[in-house]
Amino acid sequence: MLNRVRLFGALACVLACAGCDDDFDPVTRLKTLRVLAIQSDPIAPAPGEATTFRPLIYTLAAEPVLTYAWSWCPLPGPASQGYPCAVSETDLAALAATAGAPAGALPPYDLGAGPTATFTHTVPPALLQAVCGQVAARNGSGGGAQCPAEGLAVQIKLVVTTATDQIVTVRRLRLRLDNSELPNTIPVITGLVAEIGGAQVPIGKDAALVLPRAKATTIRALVPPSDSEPTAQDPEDPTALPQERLNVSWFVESGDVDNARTGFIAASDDARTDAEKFDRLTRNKWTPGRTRDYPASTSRLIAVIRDSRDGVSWTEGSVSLEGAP
Amino acid sequence: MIAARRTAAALSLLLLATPAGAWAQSTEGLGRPPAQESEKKVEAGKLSKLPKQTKFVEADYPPEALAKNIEADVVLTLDIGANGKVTQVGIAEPAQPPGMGFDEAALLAAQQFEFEPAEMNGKPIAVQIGYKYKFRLKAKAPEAAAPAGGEGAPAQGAAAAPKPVVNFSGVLRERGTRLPLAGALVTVFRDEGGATKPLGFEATADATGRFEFYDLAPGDWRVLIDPPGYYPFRTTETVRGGEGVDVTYYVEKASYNPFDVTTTAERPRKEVSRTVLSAKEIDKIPGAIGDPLAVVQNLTGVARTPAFSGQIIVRGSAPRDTRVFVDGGEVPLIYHFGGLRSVIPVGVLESIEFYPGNFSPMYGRATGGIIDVQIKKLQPKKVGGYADVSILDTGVYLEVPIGDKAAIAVAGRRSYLDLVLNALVPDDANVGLVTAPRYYDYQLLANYRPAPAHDLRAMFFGSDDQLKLLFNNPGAIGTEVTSNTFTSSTWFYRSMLQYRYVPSPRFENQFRISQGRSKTENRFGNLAFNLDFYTSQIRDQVRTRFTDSVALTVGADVLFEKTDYLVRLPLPPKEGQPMDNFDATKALESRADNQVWWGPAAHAELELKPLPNLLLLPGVRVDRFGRVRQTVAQPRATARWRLVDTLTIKGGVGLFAQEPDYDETDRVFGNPALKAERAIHYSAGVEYKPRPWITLDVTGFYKTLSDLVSPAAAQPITALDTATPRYNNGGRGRVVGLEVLARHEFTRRFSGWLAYTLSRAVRTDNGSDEERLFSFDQTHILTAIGTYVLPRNWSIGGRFRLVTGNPITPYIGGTFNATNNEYDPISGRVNSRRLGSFHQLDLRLDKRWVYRSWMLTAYLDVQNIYNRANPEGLNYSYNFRQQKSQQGLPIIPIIGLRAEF
Repeated sequence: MLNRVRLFGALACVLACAGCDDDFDPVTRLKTLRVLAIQSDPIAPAPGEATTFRPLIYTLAAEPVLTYAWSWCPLPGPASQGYPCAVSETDLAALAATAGAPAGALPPYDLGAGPTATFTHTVPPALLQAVCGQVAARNGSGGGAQCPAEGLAVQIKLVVTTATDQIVTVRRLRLRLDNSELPNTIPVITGLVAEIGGAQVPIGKDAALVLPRAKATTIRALVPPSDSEPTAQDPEDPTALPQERLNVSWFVESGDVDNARTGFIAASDDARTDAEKFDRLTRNKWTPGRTRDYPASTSRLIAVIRDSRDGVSWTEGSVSLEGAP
Repeated sequence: MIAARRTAAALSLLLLATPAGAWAQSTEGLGRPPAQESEKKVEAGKLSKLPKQTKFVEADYPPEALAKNIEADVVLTLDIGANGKVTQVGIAEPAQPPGMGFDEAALLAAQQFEFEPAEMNGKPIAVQIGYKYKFRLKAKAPEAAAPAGGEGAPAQGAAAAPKPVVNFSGVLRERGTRLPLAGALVTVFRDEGGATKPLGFEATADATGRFEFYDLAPGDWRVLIDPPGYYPFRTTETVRGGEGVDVTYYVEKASYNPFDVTTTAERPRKEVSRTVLSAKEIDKIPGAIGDPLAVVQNLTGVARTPAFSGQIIVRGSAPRDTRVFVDGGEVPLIYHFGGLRSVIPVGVLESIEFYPGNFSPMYGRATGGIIDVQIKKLQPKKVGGYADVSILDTGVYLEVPIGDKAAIAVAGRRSYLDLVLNALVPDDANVGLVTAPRYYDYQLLANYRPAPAHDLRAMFFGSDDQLKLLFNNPGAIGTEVTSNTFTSSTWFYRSMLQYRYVPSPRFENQFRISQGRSKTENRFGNLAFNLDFYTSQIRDQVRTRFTDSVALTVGADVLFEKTDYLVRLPLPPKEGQPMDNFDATKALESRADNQVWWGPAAHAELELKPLPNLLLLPGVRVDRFGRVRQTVAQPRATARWRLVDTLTIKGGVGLFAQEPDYDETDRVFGNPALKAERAIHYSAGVEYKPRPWITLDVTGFYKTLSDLVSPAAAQPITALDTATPRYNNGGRGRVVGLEVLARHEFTRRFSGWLAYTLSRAVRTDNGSDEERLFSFDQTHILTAIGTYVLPRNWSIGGRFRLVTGNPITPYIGGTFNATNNEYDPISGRVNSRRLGSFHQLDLRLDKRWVYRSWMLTAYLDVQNIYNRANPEGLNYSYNFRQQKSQQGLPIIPIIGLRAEF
């Protein structure tokens, strides 16, 4: 087990090198087909409740999305194998039967081929508990363990295809056990601004704002502090305050941003105030590309916000870019 | 090879330190046998008797030199066989001036010398000694010489004075080290009435370096001290009537090379493969920055691993299959920060012994290799020490003799990575350093030897590593991060006591006890790895020699461990498993208080010599593995047959067993029903030693691995099947290879070795018959190392490595995980690709400045001098669709300083 020390050491090195540059296109640069997020509304359906999945897809106008394929799986296999579903519908049905669920109660794995999909939470709580028990037994917590309060996490998979490309995307969906817990609300970004001359200038979709190329401009996502909702205290992490963590992911068509992702954790483990930490969540720097690298005169900026309980939303703006360089 | 060389060095020192016989014969004074009193110095593991000259042959004085009144010294190396005959003569230091015929004459005469042979444990052995042949013109011989510390024969040929008076005395010390120059000749002389009547006297320094002259006439006297291996020391002293002159002279050594101070003989070889590296060698090997364990990677059978990985891969075995011992006691933590630097600095080491396989039953709980770090055997003659400043840390060492029988030493080291990194990392960086990586370690050594038969040694050592990171922007790390900080604290200490009792050459008992605690606390949000580990080990080993051809060694080895732990981490990938993205949401938790394990073991080994040159070593080790509740008997046997003096064949076979890793038997992370892993080692080879300082060793090996812990294949696709354990003992493997080592011990100026390993290591997982490559399978491993000592205390060394690239498991694409905004890689077939070859040249330059009472050494170690972009892995684009080679370390110059006193 002492080898785990090395694991932490390696982790520290990875952390220290976070953001290290390489020759690949950065994850923030939008050039080809990308799935940037999948929103579930409501975030975690209660029994009997339906949730709608809406993807945020970036694609070139010349390469429209041709097909969508939605599915779900209660127990995904390893990521290294592309998340195959580790339990067949037949096995799940058998398990449901042993848990006393009526036949046909389970939603089919196939959720359709539309731009959006809907999942109705008809999984019997007894089956959820049974699956949680199996997982807990596997993890050494003893058989019969109860599901966590937030419910059982299942997986939603979306396969998007264009004429030349295909993206496989997964996301977590928590199936709540009952309606007793207040549902999480989706975090929002109310707008995007650029800080120019000490003033905050909105970045709208009309590309009214002009930014210089090859020069860093501070940009902000306007995130209300209320996006970080109260949560239950994490018994495993006494330094974490009972408050949602937030992350903003940044995407641009031109150039680079300093941070692909900015985060906020309300915690008692450092001397900074929550306001200082929150400021770091909303702030970034954008350096649009030179003309030779990005000839187009406008560039989109997309910011996606996620909370730590699977809430996600996004906003976008567009700027005009100066001529040379 | 090593044994012979060290024996020679030991003997040379003893001879030099003995006034009566230190200096070889001159043309006018013959036949005093060397070092007779040294026969009393019978110690365990050392020569029991020095060679004693029984026949001296006077060399012919070269006619040309005789005609020109030229005197000279020739320093020879004599190889003396076990029969006392001189088998080979070499010139260590030729005569000055050259070309006069001194060397040839001395060689011719020395070939006819005869000796009573040296003995080790009562048995005659071959040794190499240094021997100085002095050519002196009889006409110019001093008229009289005062014996060192003697009874005062009056000088100057005057009438005998009733009470001779010492009026010129002093002490000779080696410049820089302040060690006494025992046996050195001091000559005082002056012209008396013109150049045709020189007047001179000689005295020889005693064991403390002291010399005396009696009744020197008042006036100026020129002083000459010219011992071999030293620069001539010249000065003038004025003697006044009725006053005494007392001086201390510091004589500078011609070369303070790192290899000429080895003083103990090495024990005879028994194993099929064993390599011993002295601390002095380790300190100078390029590319290792003086790190002892990093040097092991340059030996045959050891795979190359990335810098600072802390992994030692021996003959195709996993890193954890090789155990590191300190003076025979197990040490779980040997690196700072898991691989950055060894916790024991080279300054407190005597040597490192490395066994790549077929090791003795004394060692156990390992199926790979053994590294036994031998702690320095303190024998200081003075208060001494050093301060060492390197790019990573600064260390100090101080050793103090306490009388003739005891000594203590203390050492400490502290890194300053924290100071450097704090200065480099900007305040607004994503990652801030609250406590930058900082380590220190400390060592306390003590030796007490009340009588030659008793040797008591104690050691206390430990280390402390601290790191705390502040994530100013936790989002840069990952969306699942739950904390702004990462803290890591690891410390340990060990106390070790060793008592060795050798009342006679036929009996020896060695008792060792060690106790220690290791504690590590690591926290990153909800993830934790906290371990509090108490370890005690008691070992006793008795060796009895029944006859000259039969000896038995038996021993007990009891290991006790008590652990408290809390681990909350995702399941770690095992060898051969793909490295997925770190997902903090999949953490498992296991905790325990006062978990106790016992690991008793007993071992026995018989030494048989059915023929004079044939050594058979059948043995057995029985381990009780408490964690897996299993007892395993491991029979082992090795044989060595010296066909002729220069050629030995050898072989071995044996069973080796070890417990699975701690997490693998954990009820949460693993499977408590696992059993011990096993390996059978087969090896055979030949050692050829054409010269005492040259060894050629060729060893073939084959190793079968069974009951290896293997992830259950069904795990990923039957998630609902809780009956299937996470791991089983269904793994198997085999390793086959050939090792070639050509080693040149230090002679006059050069030392080095050429090591080549050809091997193939494969594994099968979970009972399958489908073989795959071991993750560190390296077909060819070539390492060439050399150090050359230049004049004026310069030395230069180089290391070149050429190694086949490691197998890797490629990523063949990625799945976008919209939950955490990361792409998760999809793996191809395990170890189905191989990285490009690795080659690198490292150079090291050392310079030593010698001052009167201390020395300063500076070194420049340039790693990867031609800046080869060595592939160490693959880098992927964010979506794992593009890849490129990940480059290893570029050219890195490293400088260091060491002050010794």
